[in-house]
Amino acid sequence: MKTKAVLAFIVMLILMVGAFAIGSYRVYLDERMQVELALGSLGDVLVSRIEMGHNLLTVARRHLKPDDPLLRAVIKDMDVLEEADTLHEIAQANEQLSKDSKALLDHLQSVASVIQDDRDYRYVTGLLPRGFEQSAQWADARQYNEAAAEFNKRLNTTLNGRVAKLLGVDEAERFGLEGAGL
Amino acid sequence: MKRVVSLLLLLAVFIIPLSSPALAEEQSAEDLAYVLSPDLIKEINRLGEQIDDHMGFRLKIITRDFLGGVNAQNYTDNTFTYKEMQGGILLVVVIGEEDYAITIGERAQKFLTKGKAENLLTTHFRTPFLKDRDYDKALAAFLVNLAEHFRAQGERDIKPSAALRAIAGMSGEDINKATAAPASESSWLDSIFGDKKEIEEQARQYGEDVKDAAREDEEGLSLFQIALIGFILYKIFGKKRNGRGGYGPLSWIFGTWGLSKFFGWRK
Repeated sequence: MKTKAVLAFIVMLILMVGAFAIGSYRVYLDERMQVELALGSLGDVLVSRIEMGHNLLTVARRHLKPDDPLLRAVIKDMDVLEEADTLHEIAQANEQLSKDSKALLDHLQSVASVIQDDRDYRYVTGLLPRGFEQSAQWADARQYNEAAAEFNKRLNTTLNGRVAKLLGVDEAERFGLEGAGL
Repeated sequence: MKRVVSLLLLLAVFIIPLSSPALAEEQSAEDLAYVLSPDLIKEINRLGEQIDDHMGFRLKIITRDFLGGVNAQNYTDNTFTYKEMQGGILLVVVIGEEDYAITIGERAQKFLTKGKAENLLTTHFRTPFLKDRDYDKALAAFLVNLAEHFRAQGERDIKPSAALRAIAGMSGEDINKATAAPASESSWLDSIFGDKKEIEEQARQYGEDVKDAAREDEEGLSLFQIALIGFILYKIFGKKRNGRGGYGPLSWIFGTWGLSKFFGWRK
């Protein structure tokens, strides 16, 4: 009778550990997929950054030579951003586009032909900076990074997380340097 | 009393749709770039109504600042498909890109070929649009000549108004042009992003996805799992076949429940 009770207890523990492990894996896999989904949505809104880059280039090309280094830099960033495959490349290109487009906008504001052109001066001092600002708000990578960091923390610090990690759930990838420059 | 209520309801049925934003969207002029004078907008809408009433298709003119890298003709063709154009004419003028494109639907093609439309634009619209940046004059000149073309096709009810001729500089009448309406906060995005509504929807979706990703799901054993484990244990180690000795299913389930609490594995 005593042996049977011990056996029953051990079987109970095994069943509970098994259910616990499966439950943890499923929960963390779902959470990981949700993080992936958020990353996909971030990719969608990044299109607005590319659109703003095109708008800026349209104005810049009217006033700068084709070999202007600031103009070339933004064109290069756009090419990279449009063709980038990995998350790291996209994040890097996006951050670089933010820096280079800001530099180009600042430069355009001091170009004589732009100052003399009411319409284009209004664009480089008003509409385009506001458009970039708005697209940066939409594509705020910090939100994603915070969510990814919280997921990684749970995965690495809780018992369920560790079990899920052992069973093959990966950490979420971060997007750039805390969304710097976005 | 019932009759009065019925009459009021009937009135409401007719009045509510008239005040809905959907009707505002159906205006012929959609000046997203805020470059047109209120007088011209009024004239465009008036001509659009004439064409709608007598020729049965829509005339629409959209101004934008930029298209975000999209080809103007592609943008116009694409916009034509989701606007209620009734086979009409859509002209998109892109101020910041110094570009324009026109799409002509099936019904309108009976009166205006693409070649003729391009010819009217090159002759009457292009120079004031690109060289003088007089957007009012450019559009008014195009519309007056478009109306004249329709009249020549036998559509005598289409008449370019004196005010439209004056804006186009064709009547010698000195009109007092009002300044363009100031850009409002709610619409400036429309004129620089390809599809602002879609991007806004994507941004909202991103915000929701991020919130969901940040939220911690419930972990551990569910009550169902606990009950199932308890029941399995009961079936293996529970009461003997003769019904004597051992514990019943509830005892096993409560035992599992207690143990899961002890190990902190419960949801």
